[in-house]
Amino acid sequence: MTIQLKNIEFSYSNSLQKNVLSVDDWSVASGKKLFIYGPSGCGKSTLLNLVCGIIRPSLGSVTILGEALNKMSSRELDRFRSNNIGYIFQQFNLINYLSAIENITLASQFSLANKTINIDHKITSLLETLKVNSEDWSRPVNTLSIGQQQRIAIARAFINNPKLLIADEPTSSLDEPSRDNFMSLLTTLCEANKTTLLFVSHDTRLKHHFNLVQKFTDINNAAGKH
Amino acid sequence: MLINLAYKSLLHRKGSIILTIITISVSIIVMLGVDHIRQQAKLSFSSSVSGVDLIVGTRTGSLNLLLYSVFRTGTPTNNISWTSYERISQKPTIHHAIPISLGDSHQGYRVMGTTANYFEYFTYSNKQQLAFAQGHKFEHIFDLVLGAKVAKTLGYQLGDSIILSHGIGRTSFKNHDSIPFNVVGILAATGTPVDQTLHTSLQGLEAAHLTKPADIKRLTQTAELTLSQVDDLTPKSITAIMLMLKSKMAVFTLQREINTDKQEPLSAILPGVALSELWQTMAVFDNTLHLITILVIISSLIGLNAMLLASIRERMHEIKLLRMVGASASFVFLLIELEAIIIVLLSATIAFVALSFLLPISQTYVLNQYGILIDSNIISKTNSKLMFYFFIFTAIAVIPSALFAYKGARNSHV
Ligand SMILES: Nc1ncnc2c1ncn2[C@@H]1O[C@H](COP(=O)(O)OP(=O)(O)OP(=O)(O)O)[C@@H](O)[C@H]1O
Ligand SMILES: [Mg+2]
Repeated sequence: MTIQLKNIEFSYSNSLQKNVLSVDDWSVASGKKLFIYGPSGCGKSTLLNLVCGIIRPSLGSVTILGEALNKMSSRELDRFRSNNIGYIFQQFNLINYLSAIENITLASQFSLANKTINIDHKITSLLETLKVNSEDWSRPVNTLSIGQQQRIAIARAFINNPKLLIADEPTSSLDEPSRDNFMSLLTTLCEANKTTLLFVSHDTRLKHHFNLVQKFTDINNAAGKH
Repeated sequence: MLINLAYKSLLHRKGSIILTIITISVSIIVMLGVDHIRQQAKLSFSSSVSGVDLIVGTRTGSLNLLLYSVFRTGTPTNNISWTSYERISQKPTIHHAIPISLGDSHQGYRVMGTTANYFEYFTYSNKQQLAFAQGHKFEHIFDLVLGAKVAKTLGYQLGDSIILSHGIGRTSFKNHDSIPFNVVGILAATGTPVDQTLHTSLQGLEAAHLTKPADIKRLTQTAELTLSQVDDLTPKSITAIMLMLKSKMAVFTLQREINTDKQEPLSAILPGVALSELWQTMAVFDNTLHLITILVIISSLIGLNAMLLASIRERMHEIKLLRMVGASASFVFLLIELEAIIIVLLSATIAFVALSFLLPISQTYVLNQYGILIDSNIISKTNSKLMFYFFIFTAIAVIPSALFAYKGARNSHV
């Protein structure tokens, strides 16, 4: 199992508020490409943050790749996240004053995975795979289009060979051709690296790229009661 | 990685960063400049006299004695008799005794009567001897040796003849009209009150005070009288004596001997002690400069902090991204600290470069205006220490900003 959630309760700020998340038992097997859909505001991003360990549940346990996140210190969590989890968000995935190469290098430097291999070669081959023009590699990313930035974000997410990739509506600011392009590049890389993909979106047209599709309300008991 | 990131991030925000750097550079210039001048003033002050072990005068209070004998300000109250001088100078522990006589002036500058030995034995600063820029020490009765500033401001040259005034003050009514003195030497600048003094022989001063026309005529008509030829002009009294001892060990014994002298009420002071007492009386000046320095430091650090705090608000997203790629919250803390240190480092560099241009320019001005010789070399031990503290203070002062970023980093929900 890559992801295992048990008896999770989560609410923002104080406990008086209604739970945003309430998950009894949810797990994702390794190597799966899972698509989760649900309307805006139902708690999808919250679930992803929980899986990353960025937020901790009020109750219950989160186990990722066999490790219980609850038992880790925040330092250990930082380490664990950079070594094992890649992520792509809707937009602004990159530090805008750094170039593509610098953004990817930065991500690699926080991880243990790349200490031995030739990182520069790995970065250039990733960028080539993702069809980023080489003249754009050294420009600050804020001078690039959103489509280019999202593809660089994929490269950044894969640089540490993550076992789990989390994507939070990464295509919502892309037009249709670049969306399809993005999706096929992403899924191909996941398959090649045997990376488990957890992808959330409200856009059900993306379903066909995945081998597993879940409705968010089927996972989250709290969502329906909103 | 940390350094590279801090550098890139600063470069990205160069507009506001440059303004901050300019602000802090100016602060550092003021801080170092003020402190440098303060130190140099103190140094120049304490280097007004050195190598003189005791100064003897009448019982007048040590500050007063110091003021008129060394700084040539204030009014000598009473004189001490020539016999006392002769008696004291004969004491076995004394290496050399220089009598000085004050009381006359020229255009507001003090005239000091002394012996030609003064030029050999008087030392200032680091036991530096007086040096002649032009000419030589006085040999004849009406010879005059000018301090550097006197010669410069009044435009005197060798060979000029000068009339001295009785008493002190620019508009003294009584001039020693009938006796012109000749400039035979001009001293090199020392940055001490010596620069503002006209030196002549005791005999010359004595002659200037002669009232009988016949005596004056005799002297002025044979102008080439050397000092040894006018024994009859030995003064009855002098203002003070500077003593150099054979051994420093004897200073206190000798001081006690002189202070308890039975034949004349005398007092002997240690110039070093009196100088530091005098500097104490100027503590207000010293403290004010200190306060200015401290206020400047505080205000610039508050400014730096405000700039950083504002920038962190804008950079919350960037901080979240750093967290997502695995940066710890402490990394974010260090990043902010490092950015502040880089800003101060750049500012310090600019300030040092600016000061090394400014100081040589202001050097001449300050020397002319205040008679203080400031060192144009800004890199001193105390300044390095000051900068070191400044860096430490910076690191401490930006802790609130860095902590703010750290907290933001810890609580960031993406
Ligand atoms: N940091 C936060 N503090 C307090 N409440 C929050 C916070 N983030 C989200 N919420 C609330 O939690 C609920 C779920 O938000 P979440 O962002 O997980 O939804 P979502 O499904 O990702 O929506 P979208 O599709 O618009 O991204 C919302 O009602 C939101 O108002
Ligand atoms: Mg969301």
